[in-house]
Amino acid sequence: MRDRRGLFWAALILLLLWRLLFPAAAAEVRDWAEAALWPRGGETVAAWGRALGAEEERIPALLPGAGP
Amino acid sequence: MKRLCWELSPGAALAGALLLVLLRPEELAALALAVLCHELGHLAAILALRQRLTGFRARVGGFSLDYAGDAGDLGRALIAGAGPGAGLLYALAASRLGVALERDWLCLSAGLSLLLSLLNLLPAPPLDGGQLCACLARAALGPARAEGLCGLLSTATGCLLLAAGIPTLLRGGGAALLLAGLWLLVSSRSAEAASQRGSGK
Repeated sequence: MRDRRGLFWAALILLLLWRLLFPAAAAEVRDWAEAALWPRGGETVAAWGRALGAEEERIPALLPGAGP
Repeated sequence: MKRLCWELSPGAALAGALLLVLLRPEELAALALAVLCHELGHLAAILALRQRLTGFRARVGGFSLDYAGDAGDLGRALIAGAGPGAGLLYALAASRLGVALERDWLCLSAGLSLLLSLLNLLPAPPLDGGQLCACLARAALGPARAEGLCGLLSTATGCLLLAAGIPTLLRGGGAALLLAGLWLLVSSRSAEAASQRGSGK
């Protein structure tokens, strides 16, 4: 168990270092992850937030992929 | 006064690092505020019901506040529901403020809080909705029937998310729903197995 914990912490440190040292690569990975998991997910969630505060705005469909 | 027990699992730390990589700083701050409001809701209910806070755990599946005391099933249901409730209230307040002040960041935080709260209300064991369902079912039906009903609900929820996730993925909508359904099914099975081991079945 101790060895596995050490691996986790090592992976965490490597991930953070990679993020700091290679910001362009991290941005590419971020874009790829967004496309793979939920395209335009950030925009959709922000649109839901705006819709809550402004009744006159059209509420977009709740499922991912539909978009605002 | 006893010290609080703090636990940060390595998986949770790694998940946090992944979020640092995948989210922009403003997105991370928006999410952190939504999560904070959610947890403060739980904490407020724990304190209001005069329960003793014993610990704070951060795991891959999320955060949890441990408490001790005789809250009863209805009290525990209230504590479980307080997090999503606080999140929904925060979402409403942040959205109105965001629209009034024209701050996209606040609208994003409101949307994240809304998503987090609605997801947490799903009736599956690792989520607040699962605990809420279990407590209310125990109070109404008794422990044995409640366990069966909650197991059925959590499996159905996972299957529904899977069923929605597959066509969403095929339409180019991403794998998030599918992965959420898989995670819920696996977590439900783990919770069920742990419960059966605990009862000696």
